Amino acid sequence: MLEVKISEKKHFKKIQLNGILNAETTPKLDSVIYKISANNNCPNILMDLENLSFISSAGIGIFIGSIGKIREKKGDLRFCNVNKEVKRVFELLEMEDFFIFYDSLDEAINHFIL
Amino acid sequence: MIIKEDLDNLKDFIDDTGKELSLPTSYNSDIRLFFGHDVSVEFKSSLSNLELVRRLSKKILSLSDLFSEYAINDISLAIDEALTNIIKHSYKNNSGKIILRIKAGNAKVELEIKDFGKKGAFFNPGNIPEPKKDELLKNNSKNGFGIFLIKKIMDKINYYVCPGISNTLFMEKYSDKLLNIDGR
Repeated sequence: MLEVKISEKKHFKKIQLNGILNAETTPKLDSVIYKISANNNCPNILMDLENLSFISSAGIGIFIGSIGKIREKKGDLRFCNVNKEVKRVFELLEMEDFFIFYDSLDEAINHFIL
Repeated sequence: MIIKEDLDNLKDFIDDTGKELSLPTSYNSDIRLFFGHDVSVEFKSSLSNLELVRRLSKKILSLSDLFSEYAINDISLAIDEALTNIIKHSYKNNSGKIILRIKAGNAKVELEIKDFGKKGAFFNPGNIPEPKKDELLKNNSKNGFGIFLIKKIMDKINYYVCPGISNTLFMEKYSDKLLNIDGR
């Protein structure tokens, strides 16, 4: 129900999610983000959510739970291609200004430079 | 009200969705529908059942014709959050039974989620503070947002604990379409 694909871009690592992010599937992503943030000096992660159809608070909890350490290391975790249903959950949690969102991968490539 | 044909369709929907989610047959057979003025779904407490029950809830809510797609997504999210809390905190990931009742009519939906976890209360809705962003950054907290979401989405929440018997979460949301006020 959740596929996690990691690819290397010039200024960040892209994590593409296919499927859903709920309490059952979050451990899979949690360990991926943990490894990237632990093993990189300046962990910059772009989450591509184009093919994510659902997210619960358990999913958003992963991002909230890891962002502190990532920003301590002068990195960041940002998002692109977030559909309305998924964005709605960020809004309900009042977390839409907690993260930076890009409309497309191209926009992220042009602007996600720390 | 859900008619018999709807109920038969829901059973097919469960089978098809279970296959699509690659759930073992044993999970599918644990889900049973009870026909009445409302729909009651009984299933095993397991994170593997979360997505199937969420999709089934969306299907039932859409049959009621009381809610926009937007509201249906919100309500099914609240159900997912409540079930997650029960599975993780009331049953502590051990096996158990959960009964979800969805009663749609009178321009609103009433949801009743019952569990039989030994530990009783998984939350007190009145005592949940709003997440504070500055503290979240320091605490690296990953949990505790579910109840906040439920409170935000639903119009009314009550939680009843009957020690040794059952715990019941009751939630209500009014129609955003304002159709069928006579209570279909």
